[in-house]
Order: sequence, then C-alpha cells, then structure tokens
Amino acid sequence: MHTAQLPNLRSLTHADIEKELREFEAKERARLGLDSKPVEHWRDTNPQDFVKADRSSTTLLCGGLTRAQDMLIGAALRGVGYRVQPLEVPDNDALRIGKEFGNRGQCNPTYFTVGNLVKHLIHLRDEQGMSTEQIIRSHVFVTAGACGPCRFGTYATEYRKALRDAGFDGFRVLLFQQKGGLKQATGENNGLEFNPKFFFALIKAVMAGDVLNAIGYRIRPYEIEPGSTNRVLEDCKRTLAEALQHRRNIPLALWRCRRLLKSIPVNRLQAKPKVSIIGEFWAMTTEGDGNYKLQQFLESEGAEVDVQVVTAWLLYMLWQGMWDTKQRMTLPQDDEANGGLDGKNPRRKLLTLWSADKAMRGLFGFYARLIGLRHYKLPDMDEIATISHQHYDVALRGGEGHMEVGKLIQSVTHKKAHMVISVKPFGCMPSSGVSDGVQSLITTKYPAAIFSAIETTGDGAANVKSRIQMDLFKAKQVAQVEFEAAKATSRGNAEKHNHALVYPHTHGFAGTAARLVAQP
Amino acid sequence: MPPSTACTSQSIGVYRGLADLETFILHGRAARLGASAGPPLVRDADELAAFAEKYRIPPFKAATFAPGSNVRGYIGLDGGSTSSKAVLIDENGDILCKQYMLSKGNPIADTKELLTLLKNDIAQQGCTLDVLGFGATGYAADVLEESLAADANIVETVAHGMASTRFFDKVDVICDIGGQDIKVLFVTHGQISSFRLSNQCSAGNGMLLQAMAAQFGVSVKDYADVAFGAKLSPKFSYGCAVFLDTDRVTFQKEGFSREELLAGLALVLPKNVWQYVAQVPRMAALGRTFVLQGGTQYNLAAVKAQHDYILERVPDAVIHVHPHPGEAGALGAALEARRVVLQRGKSTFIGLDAAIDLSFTSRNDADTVCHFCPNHCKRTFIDTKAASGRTSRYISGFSCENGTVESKEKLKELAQRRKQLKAKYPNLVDYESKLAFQSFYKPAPLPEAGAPLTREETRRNWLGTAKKVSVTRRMQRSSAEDHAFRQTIRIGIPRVLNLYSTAPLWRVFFETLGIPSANIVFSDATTPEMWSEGGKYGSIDPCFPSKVTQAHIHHLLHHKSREKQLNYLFFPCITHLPTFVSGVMDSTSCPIVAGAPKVIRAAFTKEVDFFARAGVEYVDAAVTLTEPNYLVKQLFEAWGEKLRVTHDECEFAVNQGFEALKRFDAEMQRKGSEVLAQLEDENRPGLLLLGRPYHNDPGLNHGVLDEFQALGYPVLSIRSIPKEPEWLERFFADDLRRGMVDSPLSTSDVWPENYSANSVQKVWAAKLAARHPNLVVLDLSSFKCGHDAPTYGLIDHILSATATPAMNLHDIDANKPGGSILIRVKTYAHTLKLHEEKLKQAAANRSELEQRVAEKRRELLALQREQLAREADIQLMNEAYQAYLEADITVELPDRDFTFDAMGDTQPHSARETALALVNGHRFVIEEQTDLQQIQGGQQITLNPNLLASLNLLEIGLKKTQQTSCSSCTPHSCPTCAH
Ligand code: SF4
Ligand code: SF4
Ligand code: SF4
Repeated sequence: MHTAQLPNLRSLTHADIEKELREFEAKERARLGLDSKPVEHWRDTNPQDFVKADRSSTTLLCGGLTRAQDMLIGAALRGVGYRVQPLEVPDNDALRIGKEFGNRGQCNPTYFTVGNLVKHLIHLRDEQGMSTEQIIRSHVFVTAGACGPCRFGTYATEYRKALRDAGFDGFRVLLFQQKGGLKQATGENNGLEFNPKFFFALIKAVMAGDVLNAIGYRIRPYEIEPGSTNRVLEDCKRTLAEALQHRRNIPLALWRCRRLLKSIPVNRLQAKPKVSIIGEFWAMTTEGDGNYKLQQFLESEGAEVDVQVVTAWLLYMLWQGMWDTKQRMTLPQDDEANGGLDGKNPRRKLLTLWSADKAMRGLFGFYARLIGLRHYKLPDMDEIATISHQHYDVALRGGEGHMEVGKLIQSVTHKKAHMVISVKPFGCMPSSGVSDGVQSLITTKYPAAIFSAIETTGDGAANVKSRIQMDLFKAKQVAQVEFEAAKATSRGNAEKHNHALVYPHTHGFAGTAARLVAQP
Repeated sequence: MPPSTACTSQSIGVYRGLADLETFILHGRAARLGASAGPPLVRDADELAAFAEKYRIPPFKAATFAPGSNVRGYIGLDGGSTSSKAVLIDENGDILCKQYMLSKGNPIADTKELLTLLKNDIAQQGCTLDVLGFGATGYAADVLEESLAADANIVETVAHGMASTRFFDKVDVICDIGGQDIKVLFVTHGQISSFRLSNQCSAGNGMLLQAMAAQFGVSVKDYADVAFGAKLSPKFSYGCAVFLDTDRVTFQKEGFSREELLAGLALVLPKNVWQYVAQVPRMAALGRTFVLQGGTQYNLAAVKAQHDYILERVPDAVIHVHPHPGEAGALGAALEARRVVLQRGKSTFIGLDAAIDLSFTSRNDADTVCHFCPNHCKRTFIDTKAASGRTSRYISGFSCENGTVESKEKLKELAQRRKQLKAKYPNLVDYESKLAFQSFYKPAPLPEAGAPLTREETRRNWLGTAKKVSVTRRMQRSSAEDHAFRQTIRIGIPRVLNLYSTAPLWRVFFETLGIPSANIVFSDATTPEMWSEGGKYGSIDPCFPSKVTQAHIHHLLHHKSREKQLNYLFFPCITHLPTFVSGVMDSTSCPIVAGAPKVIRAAFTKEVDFFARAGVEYVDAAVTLTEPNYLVKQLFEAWGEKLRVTHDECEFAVNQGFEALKRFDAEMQRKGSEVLAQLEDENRPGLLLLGRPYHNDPGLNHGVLDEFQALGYPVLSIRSIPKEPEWLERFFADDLRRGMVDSPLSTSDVWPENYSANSVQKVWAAKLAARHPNLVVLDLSSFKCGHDAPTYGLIDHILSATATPAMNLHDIDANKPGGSILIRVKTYAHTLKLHEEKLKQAAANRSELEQRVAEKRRELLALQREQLAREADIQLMNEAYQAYLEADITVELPDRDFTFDAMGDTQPHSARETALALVNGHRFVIEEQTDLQQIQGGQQITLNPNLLASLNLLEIGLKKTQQTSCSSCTPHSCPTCAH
C-alpha cells in the first residue's frame, strides 16, 4: 500500500526502510521469543493409496468371521485377481496386543480384531524378518466398515491408532461399507475395486461357509467316530476353496461336499440338549478365545450347537434399509439427513433391497439344498422385528440391535432350542449396555427358559464355563424328558432315518433325537 | 548301643555326614526351586559392580562456607504425615544443606524443628542465614502457607516434577517411591500431564521393603547387599501387601533363603508400580526418559529391579536416579519459592526466626464444630502467633467451603465472594446445565383453525420419481375441550443423558401444544442421595450416565409425582442428534443413550409395574432429531392420541421446538463470545470442557469445574463456542488455505469415522483448543464409555501437537473421586498458572515488539529526513510541503464514534495487511478495508502515502462517498463496495 518511492536520491528509500524494518522486526521477534514457527497440527493421514499396478505385489489381509469363511473368502478373492492372506482366528495374544496398542475402554471384539492384525504384522516383522517399510508397502488390510452407532463403525479409527502406536504408521486399512451396496466409490485406477465381482465373490464365500458350518454343527455331535466330521469338513473346505479360487462351478463343489458329508456315520438317537448361541455378532461368530471357544466347549460337554449364520446378519442389514425407507416414504416432505429420502428414489431403493433379500435367500436355499442342509430356515426379519419392537425399538441400532431380544423370544416361544446363550463381549454397548437389560425382562416373563447371558472378558473362562455347565445340566434333563416323550409317540422308523444328512423338523420338539423319533 | 536290626535293615536315621546336605543346598535345592523360581537380581559380580558404579547415589556433602559469611537461600519443606524433609538451596537453585525427621504429629512443631536444624547447619560454620523465600509441599503445605505466609504452596506432584526437571533435560516419566506412597508422574512438554498415585495401599512402597527386611533381621541399609547375594528369586505375585506376605510365607516353607526372598521382593516392586499402581499397558508409549525418585532409590536392589524391568519393555530407555531422591519434594518447593519470589520481587515469608519462634495452639473441640449444616463437621483450628504480633488461623476438617469460616457474617461474605466469582469467571457449563431445563423461549401461538399453511411437498409418481409442489392447506386444530384437557396434563422428564442437549425442544414442543410450563417437570440434577435411593432397579452395569437414569425415573415417580400426580413420564429413545460439525458420516447417539429408555422400561416393569403402580404412563418413543419431518411423524405417533392433538399442531410444535434449540445455542454462544473476548483481552486461559452434554450434570462431573472457577478460570462448554465461520476462520485459516478441511467446522482431517454426534463434537472442540491460545482443556469421560474410547488417542494427538494444556478425567463414575482429584486439580492448576504467565509474557513481548518497531521506524524516517535535507534545499521542500498540506487535506470524521480492533500483531492469524491510522490524534492499527467498512459503512478511505514520510504515520482522510455496489459482490462480503 504505502510503497511510494521517493525521487531517486541517494537517501534511504521507503523500500530500504521497509526492508530494514522487516529485518529488525525478525530479530526482535527472535529475541522476544515471538519467533514461533507455524505449528503443524496433527492429522490422521489415513493412507488409502493402492493402485492397480501394485495389485500383484500387494497382499490383502482379511478375516474376522469363522475359520471356514475366512478361508473361503481368501480363495474367492484370489479368484477375482487378488493376493490374499486370511488372518488366523484371533486368540488371547491378539487381545493382549489389542489392549496394549488400542485406546482404553474398547469392547473386546475391537481389541481382538485390532490386536489380531497388529499381531500378524509383528509376526511378519519379527519372525519373518520383513522390514516395516516392506510390510507397509506390500500389505493392505480390508474390512467392512459401518456408520456406527456402536464401535463397529470406529474399528478403522482403532486399527489406525494401534498400527501407529505399534510402529506401522502408514499401513493401509481399506473399508467397504456393509450397507454401501454393490458398487462403492472406486476410481479407475484403484487397486481394490469394490464392484459387483468383488461382492459376489464375497457373498458366495460367506454363504458356502455358512451352509458348511451349519451342517457341520448338526453332524458333529452325533458322529460315531470322533473326529470324522472335522476331517470331512476340511476336505469340503478344500473342495469349495478350489472352486472359488479357480472360479469353477460352486454348485458342483457343494454337491461333492454333500457326498462326503453323507458318508459320515452318525447316531442321532442320543438325547442331546440343543443350545442356541445368540448375542453380539462377532462374539457369537468367532471360534477362538473371543468367546472361550464356546461352540467347541458346548459340543465337548455333550450339546448340539445351533449357530447363527452370517447370511442372517446380511439380511438384517437389508431389512434395516427397507424398514427405514418404508417409515419415511409417506412423509409429505423429505429430510436431508442420512436416513432421509431427499434426492432418493424410495421405490427403487425398496425394490433393490427386496430383490437383494430374495436373491440372498434364494442363493442360500440353493446352496443349502445342494450341500444337504435341510429344513434350515433363515430368520424372518419382519417377524423378529414385530415380536421385539415393544421391548427393543427396532429403530435402535448398533450391534445386533433388536435381533438379540427377538431371537431370544423366538427361541423360547418356538421351542427352537433347549437353552439359549447370549454372548456379550466385555464393554459392548448395545449388547451388554442395552439388550442385556431388556433380555432380563424376557426371561422373567418366560421363567422356564434356560438362558445364560455370558460376558466374554478374555479371562475368567473357568467361571463362565462352570456357569454354562450348570445350565447345561438342566438343559440335558429337559432334552432327556423331551426325548422320552417323543419316544412315546414314535412310529418306529427313526433308525431308518438315522443318517448324517437327515435332520427332521418335527413340530413341538427342540432336540434332534426327539424330532427324529417323533417324526411322522 | 547297637542299632536295632529293624533300623539297620531300613537304613533310616543313619547320620551320613554333611556332604549330602551340602550337595542339596548347593545344587538340589536350586534345581528343585529353580523350576519355579525367577532369575537373580544380578548375574555376577561384574554386572553388580558396573551397575553400582552407574547408579549408586553419591553421599551428600553439605556446602561449607567461610566463617562469618552471610548465606542467602530459599527453603523448601515437604511435610508428610510420617516424615518431613527440608532443603536449603542457594540463589542458583543448588542444594546447600538438607534435613530429615520423622514427623511427630504436628506440622508446625515439625516445621519449627526442621528450620532450627537448617539454621544450626549454617550457624555451626559461624555464618548467618538470610532466607529469601520459603516454599512448602505435602500434607502440611496448606497450614504452613497460612501460618508462615509461605511464598509457595505447591502440590507434591508438581514439586517432584520440578525437582526432576531441574537435573534432567527431557523427562518423560517420574517414578517416586516413598516410604508411604508411590507416585508415577507422566510428563508432556515439561509439564505433568497425568499421574497415578497409591497412597492407601502399601503394595510395593518403601515401608514394605523395610518391614520385610526387618522380619529377616536385615536393616534396610543392608537390604541391597543381602538381596544381591541371591542366585535365584521366588516369583511373588504382584498386588496388595497382604498377598505379598502370604507369598513370603509360602516361599519360606518351600525353602527359599533370606537373600532370595529379599531379591524376589525387590523384583516384584516394579510390577506393583507399573502394573498395579500405574496400570500402563505399554510403557514405551510413555516415552524413554525415566527418573527414579523417592527414598527407596537408596536401596540399590530396588533400583536394579526397576532398571531391568523398564529396559526390558523400553529397550532404548534412559534411566536416571535422582541425586536427592528423598528430598525431591522439598527441593521442588524451594525451587518454586525461588521462582515466585524472583518473579514477584519480594517474599511474603514471615522470616526464619519468626517461624522458629512461632507459638501456636491446636483446638478440636465442641467450639470448633461447624454448625452451618446438619453435617456438623468436626474441625480443627490451628492458631499461630508470631513475635511480631502476626496471627493466623488455619482450619481443617471441613467438608465444604462454608466450613472455612467461623461466623454468619463471614459466611455471608463468602457467599458474596462466590457470587462475584461466578460473575467474573463464568462457568458456562453450569449455566448451560440450568438453562437447558428452564423456560426461556416463549413459543409462537398455534395458528388459528383454517389458517392457510403453505409449504413445498414432495410428490412421487408410481416410479418413485419425486417432484416438489407447493401446497396450501388449512390449519387443522383440535377442539377447545382438547386444549383444556391438555392444560391438565403433567409430564415428567428425566434430567439425564441427551436431554441435557435437547430439553428445550421437548419443553417447547409440549408448551406449544398447550401444556402449561409448570406441568413439564424435570427430575432434579443428580445427587449422591438420589443415586443411593433410586439406583436399585438395574440388572446391568453400563456407564454411570446410563445407570443413573433409573434413579431419576425413581425420583420422578416417588417424589415429583407424589408432590403432584404426573400423567406421563417421557424418556425418548434419541437415536440421532443435530450437530454443528460439518461433513459427518452420520450424527447418531451412543447406542446406550438411545437404548436406555428401553432398559428402564424393562427394569421398571419386570416384576412389578412401577409405572402402573404410580398411575403414570411411560412413553419411550424412538426419535430422530436430524430429520425434522420424520420427527413429526414419530412424535405424532407417540403423542397424537394421548394429547389429542392434530398432525398440524404436532408439526407446528416440533418446529417451535427446533426454534427453541436454536435460541439455546445462540444464547450459549453469546455468553461464550463474551468470555472468549474477555480472555483474549486479558491474556488469560479459560477451561474448555470436552465432555458429553450430560457431563454438565454436577452429579456427573462432581463439581470439578467449580474448583477451577474458584481458582479464577472461566469454564466454557462446547455449545458456548461461537460457530460462525467468520470467527472460526481466524483459527482455521491455514487449514482452509491448505485444503485440509473444507469448513472450519469439519473434523474430516483427523477423524473420518465421525458418526457419533457427541464424540465428534468433542474432537472438533479439541481442534479448536489446539488453535486458540486462550483455551485449555478438561476432558471428562465416564468409566466404561464406549463412544469416547476411540477419541482418547485422537484428542491426545491433537492437543499434544500444539502442547495445549489438558487434564483428563477418563474414569469418572458414581462416586466423587476423593483425595486424588484434589491433587489432580492442583497439579493442573499449576500448569494453568504457568500457561497464564506465558500468555501474559507473550502479550507483553508483542507490545514491546510493536513499540520497538515503531521506534525503529521513527528513527529510520528521521534519518531519511536528515538525508533528504542534506541532499535537497530544505527550505524549498518545506514550502512545497506546506502548500500541499493546505491544498489537500480534508478530514471528515464519521458521524458516530468508532472503535478499532486490538493491535494487528496480536491477531493470531491476521493474514491481512495492517496500516497505521491517525484519527483524532490517536494512534491505531487497523485492518485495511474490511474493518473500516464495518466501522463506517459507505465511507471510503483515501490513504496518502507521501504523508507517511513526514508524519511518521499514515493519515487517513475520510470522505463521504455514495453507497454503491459493484456487480460482482454478494451481500456483506464484497471488500470493494459497502454492500
Ligand atoms: S456390537 Fe458391541 S462388541 Fe460389537 S462392535 Fe459394537 S460395541 Fe463392540
Ligand atoms: S463444613 Fe460444610 S458440610 Fe461440614 S458442617 Fe460445615 S457447612 Fe456442613
Ligand atoms: S456415550 Fe459413553 S457415557 Fe454416554 S451413554 Fe454412551 S457409553 Fe455411556
């Protein structure tokens, strides 16, 4: 502004003065300690750079479901052109590492899964001798993201924090949104393309894993030769994995599995209590220390376990979308916020979600029939919503939402199991902080139901197990009484149907043996 | 006697010499025990020698003086409950002499004795002692501050920190193990950022080692020598002293020797410190420089165990043992006294002899009991009298501030002082917590029946394609009877969770519909009594804010409804909350907040239906506050029939509710702006509470904010921070310029997974605090909080990057945290004091800079004038200048007074040029253009640079011009026209 030059005389010009003043001021600032450098504020770099060219040299790490599913997902993604390494099922070491590098106050699934990734990277560094740079350059972690409202949505934050603190700053964590649909933001050159091919591969692997797991849990408790089921299941996994990886005919692979499974000699005429495991999604699904290897423990204690399939979770996601849309469709004005319909076409959305639901159920049913999983009913989401709504508003989200309450009511009213265990991870908000309280009302209403809510803390396994044993004792008695009652109605053709793939669904009975003898 | 055959044949009882026993002792025992035992403290003599060389504390030699000299120095005193220490430091802060004594029960008597000892140390050399200042720490510090007019009274943590940083440059962790307690202090940017204390439990403190050693007849001085002699050690399990003793008995029975037991005990000490007391999951995260302090460090075995433990976990750790480990507290107090006296220029201390001769009485009888409330606290009065006639009274044993005075008049004065304090240093968190539940917004009346309502609605065809159409309808009203009915309805609402941020909406919603203001009844704020009375329904154990809701519901049913019957109890399941943060993934409540009403329903209807019993209907509808249209539907479904209202009425009421929320925000921001402006003016820090809305509940924050208010720090809530982008741009200009964020209200640069409304607001507030020089942080989280958990690391990163002072209380729960909270507050208060000094110093430096630059400018211009005069005909030039002056100057001053901003240089992010202005003979620095237009819209400024040269200043001529607007501007933003 005031840079006017005086005539070109030999005296000081304004420019000289300003220059000198600037220098003077800089010196004075330094002397007075005002010479503060611009501060660099902290930011989360959240590196996402994974380009197509790096695909062949980059390993995708993934995991977090059942052992079978992790393996099949690995194979399926290899089949669509990725290098994949599924992580081990998280164990207590993973929990310890998770606690060490994670924030305080997280839920156990966060610690287990976050710790598991860090544990794997530490293994690569310390035991396989890879440098940190190499690990960061050649690996990415892929996982599902969510928009909350429980901690599930902040896993990514936690992964990055733990990675930073464990010395893997810059490690890439890539998310696909579980509610994001089949096409999600992927640029031209993205190394990881969240496109229909990717998601179909995932879905096929998840469902194949689901049907295999479900049938495994039905056969194993009744196997005559201990270990025979697991041996066959390993063969099945290999068969399915090969088919997925080489993009061969999955139905054919499932059919092959069916033949293998059929050959397992079983004796279903043993009155075993059927125990339904419900609860927080991860904690009821994992097969490791995250739930004290609950499924295995129950089987070893003489129970038949009824697990929830991962497909049911996907259906819950779809149901949420449909319910939310229907609730808002009739509003005279659309809202702009997340759930609002402003700028959206609700009919198209509903149709898409409805088709996805039907397609998933269809595919699951198809896979189930092929492998020999009979009478397996995927949950009726509307029914669960209706029965749970008065206790647990279906608009409340996070974790399994109202499903935990709904499944408990279904189990006790529909005689689906002799005993229900709800697995609540330590620190879980929706499960321990809400549905636990609501479930206590349900159990008061149905005093005959054998129900245990167990909190998985990582330690304290002995306590949890002895509590389960006590309840299981009661459940065994109930199963035995039921079996005796069933025998009274028996038509005597049970022996004939005593095969691995026969799994009758006789109304009014929960136990497999009872159903078998009482079937018409 | 010949041996019996039986005996011979069985060969028992035959003495076979000592050889076997020796072999067993040398090898067998070790082999047997070794399987379960741990390693020794040192492998061999060489290791021991090298270690001792490095870590043995050199014996202290008191300073010697030439007889007759006058020794000048500062005294620091650490008055503990079991022992007291004092040091004398010289003017450079070096220790001249020190004294230690076991406490005899009265802090003043102990102090007098210690001071006498110090005085004698100097007197014995034939010298005199001139005490320049006196500082105290420890449990006796308060009484000494009062009775001796100590210059400094600092909390132990700070004293230990100061003693440590005096000797070591970059300290990350200080571990102080005294006879009675263990302190682990975490240091960030030279300040204690956090700490852990164990003072109730004796696990691992010095006393324990001493007591254990005594059981073996070993004096604590010989502990290390004995323990280093062990070749292996039993593995004690860490934890409480009782367990340690049980272990000791077991190990003794198993055959471990005295040496081994002492070694084992030394080895368990670090476990107790780091795992039991400090509870640090990963030591490396704390930093790498560790300082070991406290009297226990004289025991080299304890030092060795600590040393190995730390190095195993932090391989590159640098471990120091403080040269005066036992007197670190006293040293810190002396250093602080020195700092204060130097800064203040004088000492308040009553003087060494006066202190030694002080007479005192201590009373604890019926007369000292406080009768200001039914608690009747038993107080102790300590009255002192100095030779000079100065008297003082120190009161202890009170439970609240009222107990610090003795008469009703004094109590009134106290109340008056408190009131002044409240006005001078507002606690906006407290204000917000009250305002939220008050009736401060008068809703607009419902439109008359049939009044036209015009709005844009969405119409969809069968394909679902939307079209916006303008629709005019006639307002539908419920009947006059319905209205009259509503006037009788009473609704109770618990004062909990997100009601703290949404209560105005609910109140106004109901008021608009015709429910009288007095019939909307909130439960009281949480109190310990309320919790103990009503906290008995729950079967689950989540965070306290969620658990406490049952006590509020109980309170509403058993108190409020009994006072006057309530018809409804409304506790909405709030799933989504409005937020000011921009670009978020979603804006949800915590699932526990959202689900709490359902847990309440279950708990209150499980065995007995308590609602039915109280004749109250419970309404716990799910509501989504981010979608106003959907909210209308949700509330109409929940309340339409119950309140007999029409959909139109419901919609109108919802809109009024949102209006009230806006007013709530605006009012808080108005107050916040005032406080911030004052802070900036006065160069003082203010405390910004990073908490969830319900942490405004005094029963949840346990009044910790009041402590800071009492210390003279205003308290701001997140809501009270102004959110106008123009104001915020001052702080986020750089982030915006560099494209790090697209709005000053965004958090996308630090947290992409930002769906939790209250969490993300905390993170945003942390960002602001990191950028605002006058804001410091108090971060509150409830124990077991799941939504805060992911923010801990983020907030820590954000604040540490700029060394913004912060105090974290991450585990607040039902009980008011006891003694340690006070130490925490005092520790943080010290940090704040230093921060305030820094702010003031910086402001003084800035003003010095301005002055110096202005002087320099004058100098240079004078020089220039001189040069010009030499080179030109000065006479001629002066004439020309005079002519110019007369011809050109028109200064029209504006019609009204105007004020300018503070000096340009004090603006933290002033990117705009500044110019000097001379108006009415006063000098100002003003910001060019924008500010001038704000000053006087429509007046254009003409700057005459040539005048600068002669006047040393820039003169402004203000000429009235036509108010025009140019074509390119948007309203209020164009710098070239006054639009
Ligand atoms: S549902 Fe519970 S355990 Fe699972 S991620 Fe959410 S908070 Fe954690
Ligand atoms: S000190 Fe406070 S709490 Fe104690 S009696 Fe006096 S007024 Fe009551
Ligand atoms: S946000 Fe934290 S404190 Fe609040 S209800 Fe949820 S878990 Fe509890």
